[in-house]
Amino acid sequence: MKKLFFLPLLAAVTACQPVGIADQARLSRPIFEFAGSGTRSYETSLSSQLETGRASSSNAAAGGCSSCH
Amino acid sequence: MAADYWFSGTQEITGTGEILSADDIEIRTYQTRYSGIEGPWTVEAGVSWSEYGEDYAPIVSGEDTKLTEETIQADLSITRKWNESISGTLRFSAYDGFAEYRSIWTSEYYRQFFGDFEDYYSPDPHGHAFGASVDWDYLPGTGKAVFNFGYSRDEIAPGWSFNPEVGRPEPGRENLNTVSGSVRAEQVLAPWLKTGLNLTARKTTERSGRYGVANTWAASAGPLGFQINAGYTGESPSFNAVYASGLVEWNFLPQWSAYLGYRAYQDGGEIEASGFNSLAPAIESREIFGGLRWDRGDLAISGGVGFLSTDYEPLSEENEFFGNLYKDRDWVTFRLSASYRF
Repeated sequence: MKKLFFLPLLAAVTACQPVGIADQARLSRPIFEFAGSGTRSYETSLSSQLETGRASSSNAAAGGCSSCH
Repeated sequence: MAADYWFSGTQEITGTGEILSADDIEIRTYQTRYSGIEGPWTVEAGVSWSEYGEDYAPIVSGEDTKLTEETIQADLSITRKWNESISGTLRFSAYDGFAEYRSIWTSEYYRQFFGDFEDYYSPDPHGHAFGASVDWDYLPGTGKAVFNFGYSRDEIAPGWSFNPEVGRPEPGRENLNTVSGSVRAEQVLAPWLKTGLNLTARKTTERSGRYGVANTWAASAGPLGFQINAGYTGESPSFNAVYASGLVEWNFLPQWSAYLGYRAYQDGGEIEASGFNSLAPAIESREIFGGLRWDRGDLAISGGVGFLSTDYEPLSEENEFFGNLYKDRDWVTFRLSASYRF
């Protein structure tokens, strides 16, 4: 069963297609940025105060939340 | 002449404003960031200002009060590109003030309850963090991995409880140390398809380690773009959170795009680490959000609005006096950002 879990990942990596210069423009769209910020972000960062279990890509301070145990 | 005093490579200035607002709670954050490139070096700095406004309303005893607080945060990072595939970054950040709205509410509760005792003192929350990361472009342009390590120390607003043995109130823990690490891998699978995997680990004082995994997929088809994300976070003995989101973007004119998304989140309630219980019960939240982006290349502006609802499970007898803090709410989120590259 464990091997089956890794099969999609293995298939994905080995199935990579070459990416040319022309393709880089398409891949530079914000939708392909998984840690976008500023004008290239889609969501407000303030909702993390409500959803404390949502993983953050930020490496900033822990937040000093006295009630977020 | 101005360029003589600044970096010779690409520079960017970004300004962002965000609002999270409900009937009785509002948070506003304003942030400005600057980044500049000089040869293999990239310097990035940011300053943010947050304003909190809350209509404090006790359940059992005390008085209704309008609470306002302000927080300032600054950060600086320096990145060195070593070769075509490896770069390293050092980061530092610090803040002064409350970092979130809930501890403002609970601090007011303790102030109203214990403020007449001479042993009580007002909180002075602040903190700082150090971080380092390594970016490895293992397949330049298509495959990338980012390894993060961080340490932070937070001086928090403590909880207070009455100690009958000494006949006076005493504060709980007043500082927290956190060590965190993460690995994020991103892989382009085809010119129209990309996936990313994010693994996180975090250990905070007096708590078990918190571990998370999240997977994101993005695809494009003509003017349309799609992104989906799902993740899980767990912490012993009983914290479990799952979340997911979906997003569609439409590039309807050469410089214009619109997006519409939906996301959902739920967890089983926070874990009581020690002392008085001011922790959030289990929560379910969902948000529908959308926005517009105009991008000319050097100048970009984006704005969005979201409608977020939070549903908490009923509080237990131990912490029912925080019922107005952890009540169901309908929130509206606003976001406006502009950047200029030169």
